[in-house]
This record gives sequence, structure tokens and C-alpha cells, in this order.
Amino acid sequence: MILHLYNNAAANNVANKSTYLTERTPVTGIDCVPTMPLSILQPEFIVSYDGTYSLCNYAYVPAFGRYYYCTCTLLTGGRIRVSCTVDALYSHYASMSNCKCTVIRNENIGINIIPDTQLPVIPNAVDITSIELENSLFNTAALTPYLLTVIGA
Amino acid sequence: MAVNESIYGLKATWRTDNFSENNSDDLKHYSANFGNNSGQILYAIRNNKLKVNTPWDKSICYAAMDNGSVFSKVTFCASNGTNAPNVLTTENNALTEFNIGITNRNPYTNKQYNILKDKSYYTTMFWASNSTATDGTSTDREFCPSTSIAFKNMVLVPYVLATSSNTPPIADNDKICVPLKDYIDTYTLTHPYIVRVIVSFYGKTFANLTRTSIAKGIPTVAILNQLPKLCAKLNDINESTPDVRPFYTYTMCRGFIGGGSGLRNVARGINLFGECQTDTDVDVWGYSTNAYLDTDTSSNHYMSAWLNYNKYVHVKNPEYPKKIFSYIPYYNDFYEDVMTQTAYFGMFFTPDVDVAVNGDLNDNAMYCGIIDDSGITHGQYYHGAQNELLKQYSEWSNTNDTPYKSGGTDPNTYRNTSGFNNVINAPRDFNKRYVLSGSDVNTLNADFFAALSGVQTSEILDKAMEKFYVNNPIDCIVSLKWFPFSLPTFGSAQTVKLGVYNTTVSANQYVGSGVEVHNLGECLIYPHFGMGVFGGSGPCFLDYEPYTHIELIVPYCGTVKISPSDFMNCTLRVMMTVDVYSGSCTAYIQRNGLTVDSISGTISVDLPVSGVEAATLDSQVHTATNNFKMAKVQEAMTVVSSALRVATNFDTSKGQMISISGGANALADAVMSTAVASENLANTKYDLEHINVPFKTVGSNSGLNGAKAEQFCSLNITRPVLHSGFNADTYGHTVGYACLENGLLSSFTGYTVVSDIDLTGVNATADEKNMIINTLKGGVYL
Repeated sequence: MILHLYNNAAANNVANKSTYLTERTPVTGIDCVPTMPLSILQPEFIVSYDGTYSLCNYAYVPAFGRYYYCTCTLLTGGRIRVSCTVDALYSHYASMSNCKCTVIRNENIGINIIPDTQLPVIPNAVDITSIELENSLFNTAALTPYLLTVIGA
Repeated sequence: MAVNESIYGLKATWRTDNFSENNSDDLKHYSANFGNNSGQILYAIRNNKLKVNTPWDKSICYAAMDNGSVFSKVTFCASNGTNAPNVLTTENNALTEFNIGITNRNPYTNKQYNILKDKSYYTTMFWASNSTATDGTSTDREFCPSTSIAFKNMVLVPYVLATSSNTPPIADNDKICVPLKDYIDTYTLTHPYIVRVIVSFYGKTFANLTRTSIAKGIPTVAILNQLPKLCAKLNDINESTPDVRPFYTYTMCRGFIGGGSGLRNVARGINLFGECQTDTDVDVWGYSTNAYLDTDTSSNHYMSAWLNYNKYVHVKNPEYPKKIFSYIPYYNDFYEDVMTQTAYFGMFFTPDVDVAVNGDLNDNAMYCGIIDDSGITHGQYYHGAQNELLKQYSEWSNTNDTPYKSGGTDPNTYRNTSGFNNVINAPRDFNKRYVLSGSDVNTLNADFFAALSGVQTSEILDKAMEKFYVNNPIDCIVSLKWFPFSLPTFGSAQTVKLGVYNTTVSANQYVGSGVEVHNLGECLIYPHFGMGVFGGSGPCFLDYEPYTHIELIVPYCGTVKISPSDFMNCTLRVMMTVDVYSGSCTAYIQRNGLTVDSISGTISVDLPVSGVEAATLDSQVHTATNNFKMAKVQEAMTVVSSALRVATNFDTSKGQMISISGGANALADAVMSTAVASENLANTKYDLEHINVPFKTVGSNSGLNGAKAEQFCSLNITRPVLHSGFNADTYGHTVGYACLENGLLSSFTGYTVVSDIDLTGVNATADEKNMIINTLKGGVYL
């Protein structure tokens, strides 16, 4: 079975990790022997020792068509055990892209009118301002402000 | 308006008569399924889906025509051939609600009414049965209402039936039945006598490449406006004297141009113009079940004419004496009239049958009736590329997409602004009002007291009456009010009079309406947190409740709560009306010129005016004087009675008091009562000389606090405070801005939180799909 090993600099929740992967194995990959029982989601492989392999944290198994987070453990006899856990997000990124979804938060879209409870508003702190509406009516220094009402025609 | 599926059948059961199931939905024409898979009105009535004594459910109306359509002028005149005709008219100025349906094909008609044996009465306008089928089982000409018509697959073509002769009998060779375009191009001079115009239907019935005439069934328009209840006695086949059964009647207009060897089966459609003759005889003109204006009661002969079409000419037919040959002579506006009336259906139409068969919906010779936003048609139309602007072309796929709702249009007239109209024109009362300055008031005050200066208290009442016309001078002043603004004045300055007393003050009067209207200012309620602050566009939620609060403070009135939701991006204006007579005020808060709230208060300050209360003073003087007089009399009488008492206790025969004690007592009493009387006299004299002069105050102080407050309206806005460390870009990149968008995952970029996703098509295990969903819900970078 062929195995590719990489250094992965992307966070786990990056969907498309292609630009963050640096392959440490040859382009054609390396031979590996899977351990039994074989799991597609959490396989283990034994590979021959190479100094760069032990620093790898990401793998690709063409036979399974999947990418994996991996940890490499040195074994005796010039071997390395590569323990993998599937990265379902990147493994199925291409087919997932055509799925219909509902998005409730996004870096670029944002609909301001939807209340955002995560916005860091300081509780109990408010800003009070005032707008004066200008008018020319009131004038406490008015010249004739008195109205006298008397009887008579 | 959604079709009432409980009456017309579930949508999944609607029938596609003549239209293949293989057609796409925007090519299908559906008709009602009342449960018998035939869509027949007869079935519906017999099974109580539609009742004869209740109005029809009009959810099958996809539009309504205004009063310009010929169908709004339809009158119905019915007779069973032996009884007098009854004329029923449509409701004036009501929108004409209609449905286009299909009738099964049968060229012959017979009596106008049929009564079922089971006493279900209904007009034969929805079908006409042969006389042998009066039990209602005949399917001849059953009307199948349309529940959904595909706009993009229905093209109407007006056909004209005209003759070259107007003298009946008319030979077949003298008749033509051609599309409108052909008639205008070729036949207006040779065949100027227009007998009928019908609108024929073309559509792609079996996924054809071109449209064909819908041969099976005859398109019909059913006018669903309720005619008045039928009053005539109807012939019941089982009863000799049938009861009068009131029920709602409707009319159907269907045209069939046939008859004669040359014109049979030429066109079938909705009868737009023209007369019809229905007779037991074969009618060479074909038949149509129209509404009728007039009848010839001497036979089963009916003639129709559209009420608004007064160009009709009627000629007796000598071959069939009971018939009348009616026609319209060709006139210049005929083409436009036909196009307008066809447009009332709100569908695509063309006068050219070639375009109807082969043309695209935006061809230059393809037209489309305009349906307005309320679902009303007005006989207007577009053509060519303009059709692309219409919703029948771009948005609607079938008649269920129109906005029309039966029940009429909203009868209300809405306005967007409020005004202040002076309905009171300077009300008059028995008072005069003067507008004064502060110095005027001081001068007036001095004049007032000067008027009674030097007057004796005993004469004060007379002087008060002489000068002021009142017992109390102060009573001639009704009120003195102070306003925080200059009052308007009218006319020229006059001497201020109190009663008939001329003061030295000269001032203008106030003779206004009594209510002054003032604009106290306005401002725009602006989204402070701005547009597009957190990505995207549009105002921010922080500008609305419960985050932002707004209060409007109106001087002299108080505080009004302003809802940001109501006023955002709108102009808030405060208008104040002041009642000068009472000093009250009302502030009206307007949103873009429309008054939405109000608050009242008192704007004037009442100032007290004091003066001598002469009447009371006079009364006190009078009382004190009387008391003094009485006291004098009392003293005199007391002395006499004292002496008398002493005398009655003196024994003159013995020259001594009758008894020492009695004599002493009598003397003591006499001395006491005299002393008391003298003291009373002294007291009353003192009272008379020391009367307290009474004063009266008119008005009382009302609060001056308002005058010391701010003399303008102010909007106090309370807003939330964002944390000082908040950075919008970082927030968007790590938390994301709140939104609600739907689409393919590939259409989103950057940090994204998904609430729901359909992973159909992703070849992953169940565990992987759960992992994917959980990761997306927690937020991913795309």
C-alpha cells in the first residue's frame, strides 16, 4: 500500500488544506504495511525509518482516497508506526462543495440586522447622547408673551 | 391566490385535458377535478361541491377585468321559451372576475334552463343539454374550470366572422372566418359586416414543437360575478307550477364558428363580440351561449348584444322570421378594440395565427396583456421585446402565480402624510384678548388700582359698577396668561379697556383661530452603528431595540418613547399645536410627514391678578353699620328696661324695695345689662370703623418650571458600548458575522459556520458525515 506523508500547517478546521501541505515522501509515495485490524477511519501503517518522516503530521492514502492526521512513533528495527485519524473535511472537500447548506455566520457576508449575541457589548455600559431639534418658536425673552382676556365687546 | 383544493380537487389530481403529462409544468393546462375525474361543473353541483344557493368559490380567478372589458357589460336574459324573459344585469362598476375553462364539444344547444329531477336548479349557462337529457346526466358541454393555465403555453388568436352582405339569408360563400390580421389586411372592404369575434386558443398540447389549436373542447370564459337572484318561475319537468328558487347565476361565454359547409369547425373560442342565436333549428351561424340583452318572446330565439357596443345593426331575417341578423359595420378602431379586449385576459396573444403557432413569446408580433400588481387587467398590452418586462414572461409560470385575490380590491385609500387644517375660524366669545408686553402688564396693574383711588368705601360699589360694569372690578379680567413666545397680533393697536374704563395701555388684539401650529424641528434618525459595519450591508441590529433606545423630550409636554424600528432612516418632525385660549398644547410626532404619536401639556403660565372685592366690602360696611345702629337702640332699650326692672321691685306704699335681695338683684341686673349694652355699642362702633377691605385674586400661579427648562425638543439616544478591544476584521475572521444565507458550500469563502447541510452525494461513511457536520457547525475556513 502506498502512503504519502506531509507536514500540515493548516488548522484542523481549514477545509482545503492543499496549500498548507508540504510532502516529505517522494511524489510517488512510499510503501507501507497496514496493521491489522485495518480501519479506513483510523488506520495504522508501518514504514521504514526516514528522519523526515518522524516529523510528519499528515498523511494521504490513495487506496482509501482519504487524508489523515497522523502521529509517527519510532519503533525498533528502523521502523516507524504511523497512526492515522481521518480528516473527513479535506478528504471530502470536493464533493462537499456542491452540497446545499445554510450558513449562519460568515467572514464576508454578514447581515447586520440579525442580532449577534456574540458581539462583545459591555453589559450595563451605555452611551447617551442628545440631538437638539432646532426651532424658532420658543423665546423666553419674547416681546409680547402675555395674553390678557377681559370681558367686553 | 391558491386554488381552493377542497372544492376543485387536490393539486395532484388536477386534470391535464389536451395537455400531455410529459409537458413541463409551465406548458400544462390544468382543470379542476371535483372527484369524478372529469372536472364537470354538473358533477360538482350534484355532489355539493358547488351549491346553487351560495356564491362560487373564486379562488380559480387568476385576474379580474376592470370596467372597460366587454364582459363587465354582460347582461343575462333568460327564458324557457314560454315565460316572459327575465333580464339580470351584472353589478355596476364591479371588477369582472372570470375563469377560463373548457367545455366539452357539442355544437348544438337547446333550452336555456334545465331543472333536475332532484330539484337542483341551475342555469344552463354552464352546459346545454339536449332536451332528452334533463336528468342532468348528459355530459354535453360540461364546463371544466381551469385551476392552472401555463402563461408560456397559451397564445390567444382573435378570429373574425364577417359577411359581404347584410341582407339575409347570407350564402356560405359570402361568409369568412379568419384571424384578425388577415381580416384587417384583406377583408375590411369586401366583408365589412362583422358578425362575431371569438378568441381561439393555441398551445403545445403534446410537447409539440409548435403550438396547435386546442381542438378538443371549446375554451370558455365563465363570468363569476354574481347576477341577481333569478326571479322567474322555471319550468320544472316534474312540476306544473314550480317554486321560485333563488340562487346565484353566472354566465359563460363560448363561441363556436361553424355552420355551413365552408365554415364548419373553423374556430372555437371565447366569444368576444357578437350575437348569437340559439334555436331549435339548426343555426347557420353556429351557436354560442352568451349573455343576452333582449329576447324575442315569440319563440325560442335569443339575441345578444354587448351593452357597450351600440354599433350593432339588427336586421330581420326573412328566411327565419323569428331570427334577427345582427352585425357591426367595420370601423377604424375595430382592430384596436379587439386587441384591447383580448388583452383583458392577461395572456400572450397575437392577431397572426402563424405567430401563434411558430412564434416566440418575445416576437414583434406577439403581444401580452398586462396584469397589474393587484391582479387587475385594464386592456393594456406590450409586444415584442417589451413582453420580457412582464411577469408572465419572466417570473410566473402559471396563473397560480398571479397576485389576484378574489373579494375585490382594498377599498381603503392610504395616505403618507398628515396635515393640520384649521377647521375653526376665529371662534368668538364675549371677551376681548390683548397681546401685551411685560411693561404693558405693569402699567395695566397701576391703572387698575388708580381707577378706585380716593373712592370712599361706601361708594366703592357704585364706582365699580360705573367704571367696570361689575360689582367687583377684578371680575372684568378673565385671565392673564404668559406664553414662552410672542403671540401673533392682528390689526392695529387699541386702548385696553376694562369694562368701559380706558387704561393707559395701548395693545394689539389677538383675533386668531385660537390654535397656533408650530414646527418644533426635525432630524433624521440615522443608523449610528452604520451600514455594513460588520460585513455585508444594511443597518446594524445595534441601532434597534433592545440595544438602542430613543426618547424625545418635548418642552411643556413631557417625554415620548421613540421606537428605532419605526423611525430608522426616516425624518422625525415635531409639530405643536397651541390652544391660546386655554394654554394647553399638543405635540405631534411625525414620521416622514405622517403623524404617528402625540403628547399633550400646558404651555402657558397663569398669572394671578388681585383687586378690591368691592361687593364684599360694601356688604361688610352695610353689616357693620346695621350692627352699630342696632347696638344704639339696644343700649337705649336696656337702660329703660333696667329702670323698669328696678321700678317693679320698689314698693311705693312703703317707699322701699319689696325685698332687699330682690331689689338688690334687680338693681344688679339692671346695671349689668346696661353695661353689656354699652360695651356692645362700643364694639360695633369699633367694627364699623375698622372694616378689613377684602381683596380678590383672579387666576393662580401655575408652574414656571417649564419656562426654565430647555426651549427645544431633544432626542436622547441610549446606545450600547462595544468593548474597546473589539476589532471588526479579527472578529469576522475568527467568529464570523451573523447572517442567514442559503446556497452551495462552494459559494462561501472565509470563516463560515454552517447550521445545516445536505451531504447527499458525498461518498463518506456515517461517522465521517457526522464529523463533517460537526466541524462545519463549529466553523471552518473555506
